[in-house]
Amino acid sequence: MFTRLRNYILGFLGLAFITFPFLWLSLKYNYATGNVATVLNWAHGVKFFSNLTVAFAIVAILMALHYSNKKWNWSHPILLTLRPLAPLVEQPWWTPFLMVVVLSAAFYLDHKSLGLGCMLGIYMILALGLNITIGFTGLLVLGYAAFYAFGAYLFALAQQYIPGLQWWVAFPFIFVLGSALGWVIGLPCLRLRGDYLAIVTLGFAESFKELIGNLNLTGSDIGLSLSARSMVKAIPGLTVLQTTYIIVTVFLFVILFAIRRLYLSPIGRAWVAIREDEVAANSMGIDVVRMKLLAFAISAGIGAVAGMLFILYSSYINPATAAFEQSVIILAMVVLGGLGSIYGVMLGAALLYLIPEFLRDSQLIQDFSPNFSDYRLLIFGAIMVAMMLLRPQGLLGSHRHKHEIKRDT
Amino acid sequence: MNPLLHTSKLGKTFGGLKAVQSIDLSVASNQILSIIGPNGAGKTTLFNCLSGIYKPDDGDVFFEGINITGLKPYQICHLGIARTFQNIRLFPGLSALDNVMIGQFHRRRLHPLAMLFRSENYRNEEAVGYEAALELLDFVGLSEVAHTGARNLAYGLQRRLEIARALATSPRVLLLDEPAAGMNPSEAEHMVDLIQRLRGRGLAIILIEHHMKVVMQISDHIMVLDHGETIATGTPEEVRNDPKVIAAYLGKES
Ligand SMILES: Nc1ncnc2c1ncn2[C@@H]1O[C@H](COP(=O)(O)OP(=O)(O)OP(=O)(O)O)[C@@H](O)[C@H]1O
Ligand SMILES: [Mg+2]
Repeated sequence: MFTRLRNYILGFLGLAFITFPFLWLSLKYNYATGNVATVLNWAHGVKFFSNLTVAFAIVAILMALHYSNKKWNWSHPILLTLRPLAPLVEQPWWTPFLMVVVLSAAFYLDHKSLGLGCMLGIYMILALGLNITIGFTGLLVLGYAAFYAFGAYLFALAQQYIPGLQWWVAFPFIFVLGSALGWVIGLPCLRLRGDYLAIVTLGFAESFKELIGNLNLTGSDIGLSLSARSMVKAIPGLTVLQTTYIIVTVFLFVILFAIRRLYLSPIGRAWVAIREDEVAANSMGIDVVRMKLLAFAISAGIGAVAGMLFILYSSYINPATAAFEQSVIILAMVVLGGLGSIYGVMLGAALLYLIPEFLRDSQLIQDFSPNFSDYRLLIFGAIMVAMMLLRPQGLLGSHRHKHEIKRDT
Repeated sequence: MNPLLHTSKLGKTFGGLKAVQSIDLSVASNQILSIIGPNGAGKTTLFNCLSGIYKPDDGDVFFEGINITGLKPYQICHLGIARTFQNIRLFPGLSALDNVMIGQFHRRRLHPLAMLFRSENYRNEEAVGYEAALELLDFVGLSEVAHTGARNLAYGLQRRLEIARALATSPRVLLLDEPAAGMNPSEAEHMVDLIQRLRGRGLAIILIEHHMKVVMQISDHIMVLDHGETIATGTPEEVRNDPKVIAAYLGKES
């Protein structure tokens, strides 16, 4: 792992070194003369990279978690000096420690970063949810954002008709209804062979988007907006946003925990078997249709819960949430991070959400193209193609060689 | 002895090609029935009909006297018929051990909540399954590579792993499709030994095999297929001297 981590760090530094001058530059257009002048501004470059450090830290942590399944190689030169710390690091203390650090970020992050944190958490949940179908079970889903939007609209509408509905009351229903929707959509296509699910979910997402864009009930094109204050009861002493961040983070942890345990259980084993060889899985006694449906329903349910969290955070929803673009972004996160790799897809979410956000702040890019985000989809497409060609297993490949439950010896 | 598995007039057609026609076979516990025949004779197709991968067009399959024709592969597996594949079909991304544990799947109770909270029962089941899988790997001689990914195993080991995986489903009938294919004589010798030990576990075995030495050595009965039809059945001795069999194989044996 450490050669990889080292390469990664070197790569990061190299990238920083090469790109820094460009980020530091900014272009000034002189309206009077029509000349373009370059202006050097250290602050822009420094700001960009200090932002990126956060992303870098997140990436490093996820990589460490991913590789913590393997034995640490203490004889590696980089780690030799840290050897006395071995007993400490190999203890499982740092998972709870990390959780505390991430949660307590609610207290010291500024307003903007908390917002980024909430959205990052939501994207991580979406990537984890989609990973169950695409990564574990090997079923392509192209319209995942529809379930995300479904959960969001469901919660937003419920808020309007049941004033004072609390999220902790609503979320089991949203999960169950989202799963049920997944089940209903999956049932006809999963009985057939081939990638019908991809096409059907794509069609479903598009028609769902049209539907909510045209119904008065769902506020047609404009969408629905609610008041965040009435939805999230702030923890005493914290702001609503801080509370929302904590809610999202706790959901992320719980979902991560649940998915990891399912993955390591016989159900997860069966999913992977179906991905690896459907015919053999069937012959080994796995009811393939049922297990695929289970995977897809859980995926859909998690997507719907992410939608609810999105409402808690943004208190606003419009049909664009169900757009194909959204589905592609989530798919790209999963593919980039590594199909089937739990920490990998979280890494993919971190990279693909944070980097465009930070680039948006970059002066140079704003000078060049104020509508940078218009090119997001193009860039994501290019990333996916490049990954498929260069590193089909994603940044962090999946390996499932872990057995946590053995007979006590 | 009552047959565990038998068929009557089993047939399967692809387009105009009669891949398998009116096959009657039966096999009982502790017995090895071998199916031989030239390439394209329909042996694998017959297995696919028995294991539910293909739905037979004609005839019936009976397991313990119950008609199981047209059941899904996983249902047939649950009843106690397991198989291996001629072109190895392991789960390459899973460890050898996990491959075997997949075979236990249908005997596990699936309570997602028990799995999430790792209930006492679930932990026990998982631990027992783990031990059982290790035992099976040991039985086929793979205990050293239990944690190796299936895709990294040598060819001969992959064939053994397929058998261990099939055994993990607790079958009463085992269908082996060319388990010694591509093996050198000493590996094939090991395979013969393994199949003998399988019989010793009380299994009924149907074996497709091209190695005549293997077939003649261990079969109780042999059935010869050509162009989807049975051209001879009997003990190894009877089949060896059957003129029709000699004719079918003339020029085709290399
Ligand atoms: N799915 C299929 N569709 C069409 N034809 C098929 C199919 N499967 C098998 N066949 C044909 O049926 C015939 C029997 O094939 P089968 O694989 O059962 O032979 P086999 O006895 O197993 O041969 P081998 O010794 O080469 O394994 C062949 O002519 C083959 O081309
Ligand atoms: Mg064959």
